[in-house]
Amino acid sequence: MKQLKEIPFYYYILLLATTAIAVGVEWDISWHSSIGRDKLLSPPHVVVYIGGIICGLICSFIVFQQTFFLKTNKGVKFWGFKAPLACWICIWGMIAMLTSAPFDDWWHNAYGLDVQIISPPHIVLATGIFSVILGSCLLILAQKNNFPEKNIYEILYLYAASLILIQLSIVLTEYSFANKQHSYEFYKFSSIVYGFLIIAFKFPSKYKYSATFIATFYMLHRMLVVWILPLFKAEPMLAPIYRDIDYFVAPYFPVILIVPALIVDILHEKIKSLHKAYQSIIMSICVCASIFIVQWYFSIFLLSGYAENWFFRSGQNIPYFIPIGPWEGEFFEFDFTPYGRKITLGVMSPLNFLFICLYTTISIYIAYGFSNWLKKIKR
Amino acid sequence: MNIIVFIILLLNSIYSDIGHYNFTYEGQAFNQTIRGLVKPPGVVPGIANITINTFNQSIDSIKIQPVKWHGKISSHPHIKAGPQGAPPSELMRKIEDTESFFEGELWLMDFGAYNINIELFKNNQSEIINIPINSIATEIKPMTFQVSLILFCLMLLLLFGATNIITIAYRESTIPYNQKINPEKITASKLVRLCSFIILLFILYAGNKWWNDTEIAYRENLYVPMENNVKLIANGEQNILQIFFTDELWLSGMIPDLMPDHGKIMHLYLIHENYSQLCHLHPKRNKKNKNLFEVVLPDIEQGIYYLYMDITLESGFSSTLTNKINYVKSNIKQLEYNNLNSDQDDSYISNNFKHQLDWLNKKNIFNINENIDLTFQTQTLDGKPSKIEPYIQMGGHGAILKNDHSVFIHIHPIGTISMASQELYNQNDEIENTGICYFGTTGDSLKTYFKNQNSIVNFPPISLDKPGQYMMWVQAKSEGEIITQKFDFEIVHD
Repeated sequence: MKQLKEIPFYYYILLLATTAIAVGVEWDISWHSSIGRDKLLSPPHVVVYIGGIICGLICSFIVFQQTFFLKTNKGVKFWGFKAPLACWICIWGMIAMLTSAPFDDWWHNAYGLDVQIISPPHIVLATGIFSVILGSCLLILAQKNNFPEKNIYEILYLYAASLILIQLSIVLTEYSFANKQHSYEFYKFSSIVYGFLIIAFKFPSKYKYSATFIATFYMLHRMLVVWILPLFKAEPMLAPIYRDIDYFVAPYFPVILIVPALIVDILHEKIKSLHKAYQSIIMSICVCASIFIVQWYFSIFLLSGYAENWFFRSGQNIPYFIPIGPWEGEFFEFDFTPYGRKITLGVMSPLNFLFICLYTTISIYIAYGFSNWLKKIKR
Repeated sequence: MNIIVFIILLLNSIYSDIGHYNFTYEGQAFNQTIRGLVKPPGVVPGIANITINTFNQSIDSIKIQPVKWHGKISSHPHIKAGPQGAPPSELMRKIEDTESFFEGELWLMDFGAYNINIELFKNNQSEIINIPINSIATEIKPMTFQVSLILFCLMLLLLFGATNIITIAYRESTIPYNQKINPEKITASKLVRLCSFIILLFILYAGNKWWNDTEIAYRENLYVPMENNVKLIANGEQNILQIFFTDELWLSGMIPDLMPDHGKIMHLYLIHENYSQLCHLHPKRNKKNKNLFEVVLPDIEQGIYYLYMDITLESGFSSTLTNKINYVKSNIKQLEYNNLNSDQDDSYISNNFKHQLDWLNKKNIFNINENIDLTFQTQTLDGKPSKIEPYIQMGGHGAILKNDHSVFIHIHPIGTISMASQELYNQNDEIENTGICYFGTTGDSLKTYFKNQNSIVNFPPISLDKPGQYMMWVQAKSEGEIITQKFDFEIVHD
């Protein structure tokens, strides 16, 4: 309790703001799936903007304070100004978020309104949001590294790291619907991204089960959103409406990352003496195999009638604009681009699994290096 | 998630009119004239602008609602929408400083046929008008210089900012407070700066490639008339024009079948390359081959002819297909082929005419987007008004063509909408049966679409946004004679 009061209040506000950004983005996707029509100042957009502005203001305050008032050099120099590295990452993220606005506006006029999550302007926005959340995480991490005796920083860091996991899981939404969880693409992107994040953000923490904590925070956050959003009323406002929806559509049920995270935590103790390359290979195989086995069977469950309840929200996470058809409850063999081109989804085969392991090994090897740097951040 | 884009495939190659994508409509509600203009966004999904002119203040309010229609798609029978898939209607705004103009916007989320359902309220009573429109991508709007400049500057800021962040992350971020930077690290950081800059440039390049690929994919979805082949055959007595629908989507059943528009399965405009002749013909569908349409050519001069074929699908989607033929009688292949019956409403420019049309208040030059008043009078050759009669259930027909063929508009007194589509939407039900439906017959439409019983025929004003020379052929019937007359005008910049 004493430690709670000892650290500057703006760290809490920063985490609240970054949480607001993540929730705002989740709400926005649900808004598009339930109501459809939005505008610049729709409620989810406002939440994201406010979150971004608060982060920017806090970072600007720190820049102002450290450049003009602090005699102790606690930051890094950036074009003449001084502030912790994290602040510059946050500010960069804010500029990227701002850049995405005119870019996205033009994109809508040129190629049509939002029809997909992954588009160039959205990736600029996602990169900006990622930078803001990463900056917040690194700001706390630097404090944690400088004051290792303060456990509160440890806990705040784990929570901030989970927000990064959440944000990347949102970016992977289009690959992660239960109907696509038997595809090569889902396992490839999930293993590469989640493998990297679990490893990279585990090691700066001193806790043995840090990866599990991060994954737990992630799961709790995503499940709360899955449970809470459909409790609110919504009405589709755009034609054609193919489904009777009077609630906010839930996101897909989160990938059960607690399993690979727990395996990583336990395994690390046993293989930490090995060379990083070997560790990467072993970790990669374990991460890929655990994600594959768990999600392969869990997605079968999600598509069954047993998951049509308040907990898993199967059936309540399909947007109003998806026609009801013979694909209900089936795994997709192909997908379409927003412009109508058919794409065959990859199938999982032993060879494809090996490819996924290979990519994930590279991803995890880089994550070890990144993690090593994270552990050393002081300013 | 993207299952819906099946539908995109259905209709991505057809569109009503060419080079002019606004829909004008003139009809009646509460026994007063109502005029509507719908400007589709040109992109899908996009926002359409709708303007309604009620001509007086008696209408209290107007609500609009988009309704998506599919018709029966044999390859995907489960895809349905219609009125049950429509969102709540929205109130239109009254335009300030006007007495009778209302405006509103509607989001068109899908490719294909939409009905703009317009509900007018007067003294707590309401009447409904349906305006059928097509939603399709017709263009890619270029980025303005200002937006390009802003985005370029922001990109540079982000590029150099990111390079610097990576550099200082390496150089300074791990140094404890108040310690100096190791000179070796400063040297090495220069290499980090260079490498990170190169990597970021590569990311930018990859992003640019992704953008280009997206644009290519989008461009493939822009309007292209449905593919068809035309052929001339002769049987010794008749020269017959055969039109084959060869479009892959059509042949694979992904496009709904046709329905007649004011009683005709197809309206064909045949225009000579020097604009000296216009035939308005009505090919008939071959009984054995539903992809073949045939028509007997009238006695017209030889030469190259441009074909504009207006059709309406069972979804209510109207489209104009195009093609070109070289009509040289001596080159036509002679076959043993049964004689065909010509449609009684087929018409063309005759040299032996007894009546004429006068474009009242005609101007030779109009500005871009200026409302062009289209009021015509049937007259005898000495200029006396003559009584107008219905021609194909209407007071008149108009075809507007730009001299480079980039614009073709088929217009009626009701506007540029397809009447068959409107009647389909008035029935408020999707066509479920296979085969042809028969909306648009004489009984359906004569009362509605033939209003003028004197010598005047009006078309709703139209505006054009492409400068150049235009021709307009107007057709009307008077004292048993179908008059086809050509008028020229020019559109210029303000």
